[in-house]
Amino acid sequence: MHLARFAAIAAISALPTLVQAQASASVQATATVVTPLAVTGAAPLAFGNVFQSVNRTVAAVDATSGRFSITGFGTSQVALTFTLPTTLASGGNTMPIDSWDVRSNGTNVTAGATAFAVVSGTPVLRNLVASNLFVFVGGRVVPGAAQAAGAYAGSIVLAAAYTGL
Amino acid sequence: MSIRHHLLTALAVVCSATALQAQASASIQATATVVTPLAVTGSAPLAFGNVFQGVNRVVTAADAASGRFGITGFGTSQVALTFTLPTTLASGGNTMPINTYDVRVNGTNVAAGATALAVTSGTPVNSNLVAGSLFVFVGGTVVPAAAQAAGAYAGTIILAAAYTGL
Repeated sequence: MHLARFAAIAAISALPTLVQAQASASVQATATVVTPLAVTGAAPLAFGNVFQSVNRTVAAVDATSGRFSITGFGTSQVALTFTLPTTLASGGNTMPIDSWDVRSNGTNVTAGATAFAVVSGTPVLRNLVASNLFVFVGGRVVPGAAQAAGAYAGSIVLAAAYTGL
Repeated sequence: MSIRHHLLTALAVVCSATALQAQASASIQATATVVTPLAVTGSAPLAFGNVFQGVNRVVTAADAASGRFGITGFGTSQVALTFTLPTTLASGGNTMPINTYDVRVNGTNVAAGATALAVTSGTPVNSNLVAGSLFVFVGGTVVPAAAQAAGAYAGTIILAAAYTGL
C-alpha cells in the first residue's frame, strides 16, 4: 500500500504543471524542561528554653531561625506555600506559635534578606536568584502562665512550584 | 482533525509532567523547651519576738529570726521578685509601724554571704537563680510607740516571682 502511494506521487511529480503547486516545509516543536525544583529543610526554628508567661521571639535573621533552601532554574518565579503550625505540642500540651517573620535571599546569608508576608496555605511569589533561593523563618511562641514544662515541637512545611514565569 | 488530536495529546502530557515535577516541598521543625515552672515557698516568719514601747526593734536578714522564702526554678534564670510589704502590723484595732526592710538573697539556704537587695513594695527587682534555687531572707524594723498597746501583732509579707526570660 505504501509502495503504491509512493509510486503515485512519483508519477504525479513527473508532471511539470503540478510540481509548483505542491510545496511543504516543516518546523520543529521544541521544548526544554528545566531543572526541577528541589526544596530542602536545612535547619529547625529553635526557640531554646522558654519561660512561663514570657513570649519568645526568634527573628529570621537570628542564628536559630528555621532554614529552607530551594534550587531550580535560573531566575524563575516560584510560588511558595507555607504550612505554618498555630501551636507546638508536647504530649497533650500545646503552646501557641504566631507572628511569623519570613525572609528570603539569593545567598545563604540572612544579612540583606528580603522580608515577605506569609499566610499559611496561601501561595506567595518569589524569584530564584542564580537558581537558588534561601528562606529564613522566625516566629514567636507564647507560653502560658501555667505552661507545662517539656520539649515542644511542630512542623513547618514549605512547598514550592514553578509559576512558568 | 488528526493534528488537533495530537496537539491535545501533547498538551495533556506536558500538563501531567508539570504537575509531577514542578512541585517540591520540605519541612522543618519548630522547637521550644518550656522550663521548670517557678515555685515560691514561705518557709519562716519574720519574728520580732517581744518588743517594748518606745524601743525600735531591728531584725536583720542575717538574723536567725529573719523571714525566709525559698524559690525553685530553672538553672540560672533571671527572676523578677515583687515584694508586697506591710507598713504596719496589726493587733485587733491597733497598729504598729514596720519599716526599713533588709532583704538579701543567696543561692544556698544560709544567710551568711547573702547579697542585699534594694526592695520597694510593689516594684519588681531582678535577681538570678543559682543552680535552680534562690533563698530570700527578710529583716526589718518595728517602731512601737510610747503608748503602743500590748498584744500580738502580725502582718503579711508577700513575695511573687516571675521569669523575665533571661
